[in-house]
Amino acid sequence: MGEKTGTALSTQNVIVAFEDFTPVRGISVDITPGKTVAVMGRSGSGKSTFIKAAAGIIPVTSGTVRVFDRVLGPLTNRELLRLRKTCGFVFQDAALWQNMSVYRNLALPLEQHYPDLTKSERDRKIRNAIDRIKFTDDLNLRPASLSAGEAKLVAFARAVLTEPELLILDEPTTFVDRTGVDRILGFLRELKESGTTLVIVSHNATVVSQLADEIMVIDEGELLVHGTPDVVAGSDNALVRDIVSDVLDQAATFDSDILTLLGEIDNV
Amino acid sequence: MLDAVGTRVLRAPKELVYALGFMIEIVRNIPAYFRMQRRGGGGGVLKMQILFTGVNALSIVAVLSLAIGAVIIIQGLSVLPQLGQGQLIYTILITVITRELGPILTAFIVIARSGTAISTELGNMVVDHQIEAYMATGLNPITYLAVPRVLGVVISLVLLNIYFNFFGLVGSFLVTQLVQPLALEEYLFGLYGSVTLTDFVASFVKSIVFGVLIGCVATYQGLAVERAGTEVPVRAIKSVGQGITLTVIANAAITLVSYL
Repeated sequence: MGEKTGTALSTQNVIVAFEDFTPVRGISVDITPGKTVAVMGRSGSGKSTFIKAAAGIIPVTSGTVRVFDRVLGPLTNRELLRLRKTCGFVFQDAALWQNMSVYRNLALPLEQHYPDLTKSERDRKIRNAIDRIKFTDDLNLRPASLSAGEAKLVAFARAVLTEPELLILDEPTTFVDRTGVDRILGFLRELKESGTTLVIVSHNATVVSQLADEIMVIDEGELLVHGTPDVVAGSDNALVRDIVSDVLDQAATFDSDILTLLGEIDNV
Repeated sequence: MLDAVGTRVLRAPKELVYALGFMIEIVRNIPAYFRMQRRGGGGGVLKMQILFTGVNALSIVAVLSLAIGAVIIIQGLSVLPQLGQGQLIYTILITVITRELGPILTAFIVIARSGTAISTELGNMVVDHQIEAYMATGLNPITYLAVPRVLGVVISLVLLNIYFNFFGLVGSFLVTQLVQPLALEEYLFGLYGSVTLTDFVASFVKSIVFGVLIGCVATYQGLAVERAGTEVPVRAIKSVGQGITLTVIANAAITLVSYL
């Protein structure tokens, strides 16, 4: 247990090193509860590894991670379960369990976190979640039958079913079509308004501009800047400006969002 | 070149320590698995593992044990009476079928079918981030994925061994009738007179030990995949090689101990 820090997520000098490379090199950051933080960086800059380490999904080589003042380290099954109820995670490639139906993908987290729920209560929660993302397909389908965008929406529903106070999302809009992006944006806005802390790795200009209270820019495993969009926009660091422009420019290719994007880059 | 050899040599003991730690972790998580099952989760994985490893292997085990049992009886009945040792056929049957071939052949079948399947499935789950998704949901992959697979392999091996013995000893008798008729009473009485408690215990212990080794090796190799899909077949091959090696060594050790 750590001392009370009043942060939703706090990392101190976090380093993640693999055998052949070190994707995260000493990132320290404090994220206030209720804030929405966009994490930006070029491909391979260490963003995904950092947020996975921050969520306790991959172990840190050195440094400390605190989630709502709890220091992450070796956790017992019970502690792990308690932490996961607080901290949800959406993977870039959805990571749905392929050997289960969509329904089981959604029911399993509920069974783990709310073992006393009756089946009808569980079904009601699942129905609410899929209604919110407007998922209309058969819940008995296997994830392999879904499009990448639909799988992403189901993964999103799975992560929010347990009503986490901190939700970490790795590229939530990748592979999702325009309608899907709008659904996710709407849902993220609801979560933000309800006080959920959001940490979003995103290349999507709309997500960053409409949701982010703060922006972190990471390059080669190091945190270049962390602050409000104004602070990041006013950064003297040319690398920061290059990365923000590069990332948003790259997003334009995928999002067909050139006009919006140009406005964003001008603002930055 | 020397550097690469040195790295591999140094990596081997490190991997052995990891593997032992993994095995301990599986044993440590068995109570957590049963607690989870009482809450209604994880039971399906165990049932499916028994279905794939045990039930689906019944036909190949039946064919193998029938053929081997029949061959032993026919050869024994042809040769042993010439040496005045006709009664030894029952001891040979029990020794070969119950103590040796039953446990080890069923183990080989399970390594070939399920060991590779488990390693490949888990390896692909690592590559697709499904294992990380379990962790992100609060499910310990060792408790939820590895423990039921290891238990499934152990239970299946014990049951397949019993099945192998049944077909090897009783079923093969029927095959023998086609070649060299033998009275059923005489056959069963002969078997009963030759079998000892040690035969059963040794066979049972072997099945359990082999099951633990095969299950742990297969799950370890599957979960040891790091990032790339190309690692999956490599780990599956390692799972077969290590499974066979460890099973053969354990078989020799248990046989040795049972005769002390």
